[in-house]
Parts: sequence; structure tokens; C-alpha cells
Amino acid sequence: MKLLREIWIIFIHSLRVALRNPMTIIVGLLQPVTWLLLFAPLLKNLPATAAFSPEEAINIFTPGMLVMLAPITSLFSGIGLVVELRNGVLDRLRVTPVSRLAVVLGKALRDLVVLLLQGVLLVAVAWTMGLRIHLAGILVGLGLMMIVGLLMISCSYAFALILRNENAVASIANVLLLPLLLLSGLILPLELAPRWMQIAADFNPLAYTVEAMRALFTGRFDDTVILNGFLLTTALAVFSLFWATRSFRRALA
Amino acid sequence: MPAISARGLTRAFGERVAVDNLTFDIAHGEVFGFLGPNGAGKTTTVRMLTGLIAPTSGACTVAGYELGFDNQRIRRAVGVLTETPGLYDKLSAEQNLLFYAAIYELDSRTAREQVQHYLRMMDLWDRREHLVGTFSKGMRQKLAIARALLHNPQIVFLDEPTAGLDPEAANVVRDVIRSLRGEGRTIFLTSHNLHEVDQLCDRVAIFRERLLRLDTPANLRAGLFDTQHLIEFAGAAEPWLATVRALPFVREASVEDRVLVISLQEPASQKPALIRALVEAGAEVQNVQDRQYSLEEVYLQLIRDGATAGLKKEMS
Ligand SMILES: Nc1ncnc2c1ncn2[C@@H]1O[C@H](COP(=O)(O)OP(=O)(O)O)[C@@H](O)[C@H]1O
Ligand SMILES: [Mg+2]
Repeated sequence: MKLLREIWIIFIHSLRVALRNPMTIIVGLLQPVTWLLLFAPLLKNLPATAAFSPEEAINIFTPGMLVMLAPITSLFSGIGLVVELRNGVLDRLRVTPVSRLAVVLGKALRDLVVLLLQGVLLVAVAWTMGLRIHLAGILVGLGLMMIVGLLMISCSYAFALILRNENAVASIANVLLLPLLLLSGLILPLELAPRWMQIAADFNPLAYTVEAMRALFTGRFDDTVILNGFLLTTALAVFSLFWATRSFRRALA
Repeated sequence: MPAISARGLTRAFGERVAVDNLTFDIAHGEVFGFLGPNGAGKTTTVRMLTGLIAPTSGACTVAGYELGFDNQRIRRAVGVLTETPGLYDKLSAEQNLLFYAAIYELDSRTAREQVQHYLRMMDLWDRREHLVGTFSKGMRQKLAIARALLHNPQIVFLDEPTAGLDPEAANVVRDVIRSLRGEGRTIFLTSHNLHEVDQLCDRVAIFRERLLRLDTPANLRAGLFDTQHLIEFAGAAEPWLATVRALPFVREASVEDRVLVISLQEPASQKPALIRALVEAGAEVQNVQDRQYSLEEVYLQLIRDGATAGLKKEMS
């Protein structure tokens, strides 16, 4: 109970601080919409030889975008933490009896709210562009996206607390981002990829998430890829959350 | 039981020892000055005592709790002004404090009362709705001190509260510390400013990597150097040198610039006898003055000695 209370306090407080910089949030929200507007028109003219028809394209592309959103925004969330590390804010929190897990989770929740808004906005815009998918699937899918988000945020926090440098966090995020995205089949299905890429993708947790997300969007709720995707990302998210908390406990020690 | 009791507290960063074998006791209600130059290891000590970093070796109790075993209880019992205040610039003064009040589990009524009390005490009540980003350095420091006090801790750590403040702001902060002292709180005050600890503290530890001296400000002055009596005569001073040296309780006597400089075994009680002896011998004493060394001279001497001792240790 005490833990929930503390998570709530940290969450509301972080949200309040973030809302004092609304431009950052607004730009962040517009980002995925821009991608959609720039990418979707290309799908309209897919050659007839493609694995799916142009009409299906938006239905395949949007779940991928939703998964992609999580690493692209969340892997960078540690940068803000480096700033707080440097200006003494985190140190000051650490001399209070507040639970370390509550601090990490409360801050992560704040970043997750932004991610959720991005996701909802993305789906809404895709809808106007012809997205026709299962509503319950979307809701569960957004939940899955949040779990991926928590995984990415926690990793980013841990990088921040260990490296204590904005540039280092940004570099790591960039280095991880491209293989995570390209080897997940989220832009186009992996069935189109050569054999070696498919093997490499087996080691990419996001590949499972993308599969689960596609199944959700098409309403294939009995497909085991959904359960697999949830279990894997949840396990990794919990693991990374404890990693971040441990790093916070030790930061500057 | 002392408020803080450290035994052999040591912290190394890699090869570099920042705090070496620090031992002291601080009584409840004591204002304890921890004085040392930049890089002496003051912040490292505060960070150990508040459970932010673990000591490499040694033990310590704070508020009766064992450091490293009961850190959560210690954190509840102490208030801390960290080296960098860590305030939220985009929030108002009041919001900054209310957030911490919530973290310390004050119910909302108590929180509002405490916040009001300390904002008034710090003379910031009228500015409570202003963003902290618009505050001067002195105001920020006062707000950070208020934040350290919200949960009524009996032990307060203040890490260089006046560093980087202009003299006026520093004085305001010192007044605040005086009033905290009046409330009977135990205060651990680090500083590199002698006059500050001299004015504010019951006892002062002079520290540079290790404890060089620990005593009351008065004893520190008296302990390292004698108090000297300077006696001026109507005529030359030299003739009276022999007279004075013949007195059994005179430790040292010399002449500097026509003035007789004398050290006594017990300055307070023997000074009248010294003067009487001179007058009885026919001297026309014109002026008697005491020369006390300033705490600054004591401090600089100790820091120099400490540095050379450290050097010797490294060479051997
Ligand atoms: N986290 C750290 N890592 C490595 N060295 C440190 C760390 N913190 C402090 N030091 C070193 O320990 C010494 C004492 O620093 P500090 O306690 O900040 O001194 P003070 O507060 O008295 O100015 C300095 O030489 C400093 O460089
Ligand atoms: Mg310091």
C-alpha cells in the first residue's frame, strides 16, 4: 500500500514537472503522426507481387508502428534522468526514505503516459487512413505497447544511472535502435526477409512483440504468439525494472 | 547515547582515500562544525552519514540506528541540505516543499502547516507561488533548508549552506542556523569558512582527509598557541627583560619593537602578579595588551601540518 502511494506521489509530481515543458510533449506526440503521414502513401503503390495487398498494408504497418514507437521514444527517456542526476534532484530524493522502486516506477509511469498518448494518436490517425481492425485487439495491443515501453524505459534509466552522461545514453539508444527495429519485421513482415535475417530476428524480443501485435490487430486471439509475446516482454520488463532500481540504489555510490 | 557516533569511518574512491579513519561523537543538541578546504572530504563524509554511499570500512550510528543496517530509519530521522540543492525550477516554492512533505508521509493538513511555518521562517512566504527558477541563490538555499526541516528531524546535516552566497545572503542563512540551534536540534554543519563555524558551532572538527583537531573554537585558539601579553613601557623595554625572566611562572619573554612579549604558564591567574612584579620593580607600565591568535591562523597552521603529515606518510 505504502509502495503504491509513493509510486503515485512520484508519478503525479513527475507529470506536473513534465507539463511545465509542454512543447517537448507536443513535439513528441506529433512525431509518430508525421511518420504515418510520410510512410503510408508509399504503401498505396505497392506492386501486385508484394506479400499483401495495398488495402492490407495499413493494417500490417500500424501494429508495427505501435511497437516501434516504444523503443524510439522510450529508449531516450534516461536522458532526463542524467540531468536530474547532475543537478542533485536524484541525490536529494535518495536521502529521503522513499522506496527506490517507487521512484523508478513513478517516473517510468510518467513516460508511459506520454507513450500511451502517442499510441492512441497513431491509431486514430491510421483509422482515418483506412485502418480496419479489431477494437478489443487495439486496446490489448496498447497494453502490450506499454509493457514494451516499460522495458525500454527501464533499460534507458539503467544506462543513465550507470553511465551518467546524456551523450552516452543517446549513443547506446541509437546503436540499439536500428537492429531492434530492422530485425523485428515491424516495417514489413519478416517473411520477406532472407534466411539469415530471420534467424537473427529470433534473438530480437521485439520480433515476438510485433507478431503478437499483428495477431491482436487482426483479432486472432487464440494465436499462441500473443501469449508468447506478452510473457516474454513482461518478463524482460520486470527484469529491467529491477535492474534500473538497483542502479538507482547504487548511483553515485 | 550520542546523536551521531562515528568509529573509524573510511571511504576510498579507487586508490584515493577521501576520508581516513574518522572517529567522533556528537551530542544531542550540539552544533558541530566540520571545517576543511575544498576537496577535504566533507561532502563524502555527509554522504556516508546520510546513507548515500557506503563506507569502505568503519561503523557509525546516527540517531541511535546503525548505518548500513537501518538506513531507512536514519533517513526518516535526519534532514539534509545536500551540496547541490536539487530543487525543481519549474515548480513554485510551495509545490517543491509539498512534494517532499508527501514523501515524508505528512498528512495534508500537517504538510500545509509545516510548509507555511518554514516558508515564513525563511521569509519566503510572500514568494510561495513564484517559480523556484526565478529565485536568487540565497532564496534557493533557504528553501532547500526549509525542505530539510519539514518532517521535524532531530538531526540536520547542512553541507556548505553558505558556499557561493553573497555576504548578505550568507548572513541570512547563518541567522537561520542560529534559530535552528535555539530549537535544540543537532546540526552537522560543513564549511570551509572559519568565521562561520567560529560563530555558530559548539565544537569544530578541522578535517582534511583525516581529523586534524576537534575542540571548541576557544580551545582551538588557545590550544595551539599561547596567549601572549604585550607590555609597553614609558621608556625602553629591554631593561625589564631580566626582571620578568626571573619570575617563576613566566614561560617565555622577549622584546619585539620596544614591546615586551610574555607567555605565562596560566595566563588568566598570573597576569596580575606579572604586572605587580613589574610595577614593584619600578617599571612605568603604560599599556598591557593580550595577543590571541585568530582561529584562522590556527586553522591554516593545522591544514599545513596536515598536508605535510600526509606527504610524509606517502613518502614512507
Ligand atoms: N564519486 C566520487 N568518485 C571519485 N572521487 C570522488 C567522488 N566523490 C568525491 N571524490 C573525491 O574525494 C575527495 C573529497 O571530495 P568531497 O568530499 O567532495 O570534498 P569537499 O566536500 O570537502 O569539498 C575529492 O578529491 C574528490 O575528488
Ligand atoms: Mg563539498
